[in-house]
Amino acid sequence: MAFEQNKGSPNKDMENEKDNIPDLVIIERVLKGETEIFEVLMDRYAGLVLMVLKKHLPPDQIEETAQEVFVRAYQSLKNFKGQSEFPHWLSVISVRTSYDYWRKHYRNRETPMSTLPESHRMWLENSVSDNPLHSISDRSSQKEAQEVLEWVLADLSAEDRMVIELVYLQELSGKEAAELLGWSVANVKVRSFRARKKLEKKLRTIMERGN
Amino acid sequence: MSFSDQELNRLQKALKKAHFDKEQVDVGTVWKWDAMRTIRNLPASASSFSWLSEWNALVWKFAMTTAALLLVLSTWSLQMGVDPEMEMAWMLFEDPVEETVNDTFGF
Repeated sequence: MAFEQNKGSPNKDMENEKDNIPDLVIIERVLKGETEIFEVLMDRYAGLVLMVLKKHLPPDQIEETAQEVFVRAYQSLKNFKGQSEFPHWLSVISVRTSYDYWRKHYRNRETPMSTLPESHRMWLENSVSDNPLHSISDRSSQKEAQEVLEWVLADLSAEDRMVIELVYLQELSGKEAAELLGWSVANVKVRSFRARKKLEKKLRTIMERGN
Repeated sequence: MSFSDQELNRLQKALKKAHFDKEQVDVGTVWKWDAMRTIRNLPASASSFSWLSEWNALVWKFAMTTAALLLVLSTWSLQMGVDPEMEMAWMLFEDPVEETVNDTFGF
């Protein structure tokens, strides 16, 4: 019976075998020319890359950027020295690719959004009140919340935006953010302080005078 | 309407939640196929890239070794009391043809 249970199709066995190969071995094999095995790394870490990208990019840009992240990772695989874990190395590439997206996007943007729709203003007022009318986990409210967040961040530079998202919204330490962005810790601290002030100023302006 | 620090904190908390809720976006899997297709078309350029960087490293090592040798040579010349510029000039521009001509004609 036990034998019957263990007996699987050859394809399934091969897949299981691939799943158990350590990252470093896969990397070595890819570098020796086994391009196809890179797909195992992609399957293994697609979730991680998507999770990072979803936090930093608009939904319609996630798939294209995920593709770019893995292509970049493949091209830089030779530089992976194993000093950090492969998933961490991939997270760094994901964050930096997101940053590159915003730099390009801000360079090409025409005019920033000028007004906040009435429904979003209502969300703002509701979220600051002592007794919110509806929970912010409500689906439509969630969408408004994300649009307000996007509207608020749209005025910041690509650098300020990334630092706000990492340090302030995701609550990473200055050191962690610096490592992900490839900046010095001092630069991250100064920039996050200034960006946060800008963000607070904008929020106050919206709430006090309307937009 | 004045906006208190407490209200600002509440708003910031709501925005933080909005940021985390972004994880719930659904993403397809087609991009994986596209990524692998792009990668399959890369190996030639990827390998030439690595060859290039190895070549760069070699050139860099050669340049550094030459610079180090020159430095040692000029230091040695200074210690021997020879003007390093003259020493180098002597090494590089000594003309064996002139010597032969001098020998032949007895100048």
